[in-house]
Amino acid sequence: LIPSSIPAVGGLVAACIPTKHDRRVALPWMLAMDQFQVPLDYHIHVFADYNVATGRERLAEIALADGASYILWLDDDIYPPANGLDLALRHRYPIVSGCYVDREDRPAAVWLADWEGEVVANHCRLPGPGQRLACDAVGLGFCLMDTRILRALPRPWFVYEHRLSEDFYFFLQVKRRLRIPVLLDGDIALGHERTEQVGPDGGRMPLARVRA
Amino acid sequence: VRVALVAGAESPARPLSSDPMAWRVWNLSLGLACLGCEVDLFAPGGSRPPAAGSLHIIPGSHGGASSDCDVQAFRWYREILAACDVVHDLSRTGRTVEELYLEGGARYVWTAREDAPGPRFGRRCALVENAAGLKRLPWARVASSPAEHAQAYRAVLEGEAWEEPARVFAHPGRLLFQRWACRRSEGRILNAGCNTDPAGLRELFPGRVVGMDDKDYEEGHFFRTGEKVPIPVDVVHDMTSLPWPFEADSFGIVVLGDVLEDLPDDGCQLAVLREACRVAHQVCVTCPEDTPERDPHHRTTITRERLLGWLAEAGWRPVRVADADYHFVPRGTFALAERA
Repeated sequence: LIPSSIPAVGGLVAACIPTKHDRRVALPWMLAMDQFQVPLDYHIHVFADYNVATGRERLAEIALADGASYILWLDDDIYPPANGLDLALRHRYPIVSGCYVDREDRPAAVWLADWEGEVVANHCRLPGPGQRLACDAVGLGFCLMDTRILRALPRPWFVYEHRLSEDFYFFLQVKRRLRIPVLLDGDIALGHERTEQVGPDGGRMPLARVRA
Repeated sequence: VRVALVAGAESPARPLSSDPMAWRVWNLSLGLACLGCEVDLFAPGGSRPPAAGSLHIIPGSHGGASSDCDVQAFRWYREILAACDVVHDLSRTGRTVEELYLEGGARYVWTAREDAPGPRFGRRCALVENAAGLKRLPWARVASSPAEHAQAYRAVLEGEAWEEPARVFAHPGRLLFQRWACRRSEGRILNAGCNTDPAGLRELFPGRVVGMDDKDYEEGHFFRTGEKVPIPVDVVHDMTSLPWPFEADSFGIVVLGDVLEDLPDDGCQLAVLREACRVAHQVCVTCPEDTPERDPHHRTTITRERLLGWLAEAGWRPVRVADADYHFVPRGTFALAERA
């Protein structure tokens, strides 16, 4: 791991990677991780479970028990830029996410709304390089989170409910109870293995296509 | 009352400062001391200690607003801030408010400044300098004199919290809009141009849905692979061929989900809406505002005004109309209409 130029971030950053027992990560992911710059206080936790929600719940417990100030949620099929953590930490914001598209080519960032008793997720546009946008929920493919967010919410944090994925359920609780929007950083452009959209600059190419 | 005044990191709080806000912070500390408050002033080096209370030096940024300095200041003095009855954040960044909010502390106020957006979340108990400030922040309170500030602190101590109203994004996704429209309808549902029934109407309203499409297999899949995958269609009929094979008033609602833009731009849409008016009492239309240049499959560009014009001309009265953000184009329109 290459130590980054990140100054003291005020605590431990725990990278949490939920995965599956039979998962074999791709070579580009390993290369991205090899180049990934991290602060000095940095731990990695990996938890394999067939249920991603259970895996995330357990990882959050482990990170809190580890005394982490921040959790960096990483997926094993998302390729972050080398300075992604540096870029996310500079905002001093409790929830910062990178930009990527899901496997159906839609932005993995949504607005949540209550509509006639149902929770609705509307996809929002992703910010371009140099831009930042707020949204209600994101996929947890690359997301830096202040652990005080977890401490302020009741457990369980990650469940499949309301026909929402476990990450959108979590952000629904954040929106309802804490009213803290997610900050999308357009400089953190991520590649996504399942969409086979991995640009030479960490996925910026496919994002430009989505924005167009 | 013990009050923490958190000044910005940009310049020292003292009288005759070149920064009017820094001067104002010091004047406030003086006025509060005269009113009997104990003041803890958090300001960069070079600040003047308050008349009653203490000065705590925070990292200075030498000119500009700095999140790093403000967050660092909070980390240095977390215990002292927690011991104060009320924390008043007068900085540009509002980071003290954010940190207090994350820590669960409710007893804070902040001054909304014209030259800064303030905290990015935890926006409650805001003060503005004068009535003009209420134009920017209508839910805030006006506090200009130390006495008015003391009054606001008392309100916070008594548990009052005036908050920014939550933002509401009322438009749902197109599939949910179709489901919602069907749920509030009565009678049978005609899903015109049903394709694979992406809204799941057949499953949600068993026995009520009639699917109509011009093919009985999925067209997109057929073009990609040459394989004919069957779709849940009851009546194979081209909707542009009129009349439709149904009696008048035989349906409660007709769902036209993302189909009008696929029809040629030669008046078909108006004819289809007129025919829908013949067979049903309500119509639910969802359509993106797309162009043939972007997607040749979308042969007609349908704006909100155009759709409303067609609906009125075909004899429909809109009940609910919403602008929506389609993920592949910036805008689209949802409409639920009843017979006029």
